Amino acid sequence: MPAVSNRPGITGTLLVIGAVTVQLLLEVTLGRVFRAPNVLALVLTYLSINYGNVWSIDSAFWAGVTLDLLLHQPLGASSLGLLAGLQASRLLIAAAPGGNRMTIVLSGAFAGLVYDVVFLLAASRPFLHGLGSHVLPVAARLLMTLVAGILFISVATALSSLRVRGRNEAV
Amino acid sequence: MPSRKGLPRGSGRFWKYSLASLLLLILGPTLLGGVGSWAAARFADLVLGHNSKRDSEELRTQIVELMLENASLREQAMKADRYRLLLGWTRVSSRRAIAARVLYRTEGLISGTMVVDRGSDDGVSVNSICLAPDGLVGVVTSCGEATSEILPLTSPQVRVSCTTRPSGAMGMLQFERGSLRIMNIDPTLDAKPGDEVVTSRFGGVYPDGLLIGTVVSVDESGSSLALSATVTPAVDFESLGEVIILLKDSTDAGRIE
Repeated sequence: MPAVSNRPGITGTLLVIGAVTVQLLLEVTLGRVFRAPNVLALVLTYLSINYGNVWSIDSAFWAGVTLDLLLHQPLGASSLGLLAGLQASRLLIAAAPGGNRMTIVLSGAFAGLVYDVVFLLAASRPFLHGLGSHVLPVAARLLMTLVAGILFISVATALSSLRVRGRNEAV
Repeated sequence: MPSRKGLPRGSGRFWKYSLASLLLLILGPTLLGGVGSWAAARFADLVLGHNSKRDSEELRTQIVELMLENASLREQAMKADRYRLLLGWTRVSSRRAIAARVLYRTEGLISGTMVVDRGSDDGVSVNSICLAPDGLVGVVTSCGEATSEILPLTSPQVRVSCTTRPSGAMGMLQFERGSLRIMNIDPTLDAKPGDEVVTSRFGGVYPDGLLIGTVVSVDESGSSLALSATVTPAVDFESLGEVIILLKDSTDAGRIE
């Protein structure tokens, strides 16, 4: 699935703001670290596929900084993780033979996985000493992200179908 | 989508933002701590109109004022404690009493007098009794309108009829040969060191039961058969600051020799 370079406009901005808000609420209510699906990684992967890398990289950085500030995490850890996750998902997409809806979900989940590992390393004190028993919840979070991604894609597909059907009926 | 240099589009931006994230990670605590606090203080100055330098000067002035006030209150509390002790003495007496401050002493500590800031305007009269929390101080010998002169027990002119407790030996207390002594003690009564010396009911001027001091030694009184005892006064005459004066009863009768 090749990346498309177009301007996302207000929709993309709102999508990122919404994703940051949802991620914040999920982490605040369900638990600070690795207890909520990584919605932000999914959305950023979606943006990367639909609107190109440039815009999604900008979004990843600022969304990460915002999330770190709001959740009182080490500043820069989330943005570094999101950037690494995006880069990893881009490599995965480039290596994938063909693209379908599940590619977004899988690459989003992969981006989330990379994000978690990088975040653990970056946010740990002493620096880069975060691996160990802390890695275990990452697997559960990966599953939650996959489920959230499938749900997201299913709802989006259903909405698209309804819109297309409505347009056809109008014609 | 490859860029002109062969790198994928957004690669430069990725590295740039990654570097920025790393810098934030390293400098974040400093930024949020030092610079953040500084920015917050400037913001507060701007929005709330606070001037931190002026505020700190005002606070420093307030601290000094409060320190001074605290010192004054402490002094007043000490005085209040002392007056409370003095009033505790008078609670057992039906006689009216007033507190007084020692203004100065005359002619040395031993043979001299003490001048207090209460006089005839306050009801003080000659032969009024002067007390301290520790015991009997002396007697008023002269009275002005606003001041009175007190002759302490350590003056050779003062004689007090006293008794020892628990032995019950009676005698006349007077200052002699550099110390307070009880003269003419009946040798059959077993006065001994450690006995308390209090005023007796035969004094006339002094109400009975006022503590004078403690017997430190009992000696033969010269050629006579009577004994004498050396007494340490209960009151530290050198450090007297506040005293209480028992105003004279109309029924009181007595004299100072």
